[in-house]
Amino acid sequence: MAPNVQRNQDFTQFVEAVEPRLMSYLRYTTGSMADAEDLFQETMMRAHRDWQEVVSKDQPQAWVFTIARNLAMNRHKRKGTELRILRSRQDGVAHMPDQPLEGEETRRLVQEALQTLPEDQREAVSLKVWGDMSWLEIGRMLGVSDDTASRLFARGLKAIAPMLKGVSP
Amino acid sequence: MSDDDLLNAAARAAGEPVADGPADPELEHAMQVLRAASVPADSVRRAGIMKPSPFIKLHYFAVAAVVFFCIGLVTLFKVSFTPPLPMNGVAVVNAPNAEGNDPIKPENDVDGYTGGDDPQPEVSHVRPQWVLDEVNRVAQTRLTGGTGKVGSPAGGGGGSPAGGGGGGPAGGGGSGTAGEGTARPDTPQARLVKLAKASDWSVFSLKGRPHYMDLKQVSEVEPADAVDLKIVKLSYASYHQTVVVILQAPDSPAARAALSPDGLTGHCLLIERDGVLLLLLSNGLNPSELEKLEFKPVE
Repeated sequence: MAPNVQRNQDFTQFVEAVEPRLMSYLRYTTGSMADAEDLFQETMMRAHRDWQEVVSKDQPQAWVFTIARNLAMNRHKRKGTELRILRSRQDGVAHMPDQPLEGEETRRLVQEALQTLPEDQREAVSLKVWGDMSWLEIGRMLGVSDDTASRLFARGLKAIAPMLKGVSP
Repeated sequence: MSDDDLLNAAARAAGEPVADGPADPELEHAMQVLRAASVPADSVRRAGIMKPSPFIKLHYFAVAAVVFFCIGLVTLFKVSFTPPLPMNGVAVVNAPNAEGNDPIKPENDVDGYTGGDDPQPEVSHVRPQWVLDEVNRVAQTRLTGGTGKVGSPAGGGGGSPAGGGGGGPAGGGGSGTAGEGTARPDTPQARLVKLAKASDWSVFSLKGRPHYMDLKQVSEVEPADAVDLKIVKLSYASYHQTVVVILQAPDSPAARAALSPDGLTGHCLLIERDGVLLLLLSNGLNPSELEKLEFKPVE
């Protein structure tokens, strides 16, 4: 099999594996499905470009989460908070048709709950739930210790648990 | 719930191996809801990754456009580049009896040229304006990319000379210059042969095909502002628009005044062959190259 064909197959499998979790992380951290779509595309383009580097990592998925988070932070700085909030309010209506109706209400409630958290707690919860990372990896991404990362997660989860009490999974 | 219990409960809800500590149903439920709220996979979204970005396509188009622009620019530069023509008239007279480069002034005693005995001091010969126009036209003809034609001088009509009869076959089909083959009716070569036969003096044409030149136009011009002066004009042009125009007339004071190279701009050379003055004009051949051209009488 030609190297390029093999490379494309590997990359496609990687994208299929990482897509739901990375998209979820991006959606709930940016608060916008549109931003999440753009950032996902950009992240995957970079992964495809630097595929040799990606596959050489012990945790390729952690690498793409790091890239995605950096891209999201850069975008956040550019757009500003006000615009992000405006997009997040419009997002539920503008992108509703693209999403299956089933589970959309759950996603909306989850998003609203996560938006109430401080940024570091929201990041810790998102990285743990959808990134499936260890405390050490989360601590590296947030620039804190693994112990602090676990505390941020616990406090964030504790804070949103009452809001999700009536929501069926 | 203490802080340590919260840490353990949250870790247990997240699926971390926890040795001790109570489980918290609320946290477990919250964790299940969060996991259930994952964004579903979308094949369309994934397919978009493998497609080349439209900006990348634009990038390719931009690069191609720049390359074509540069090629066009270079081509345009080469096409439009014309070697600078000397602004001063090149007056090289190589007629056997010419007196160097001295200008031929109307008031000059022209007996030295004509060999005549009658002085003509009162006759004032001037150069016809159309000769100057012809010189300018030749000088401005571009070497490449030009129109490729040398226009007729004012008042000069192409075609058969008066009395030469038109439309008939080239009787005798006088052979053209070497390599031009047999003349056919209505070709410049046929008109040249007719004109030469009708003239009482030798009409000269280029010998061979120097610089791959072809005879494009033959005409006889009788300037209105010159008395008893008929000038035959032969226009040659090569594929690359190198033009050589021969203005010729029997040697006479009027002809010398009309065909003098003095004061003319561009490449020009006046020579004399068997009593016929030939003023050679060119846009690409310099006087030294013009001097090397060979001529033969048209038969």
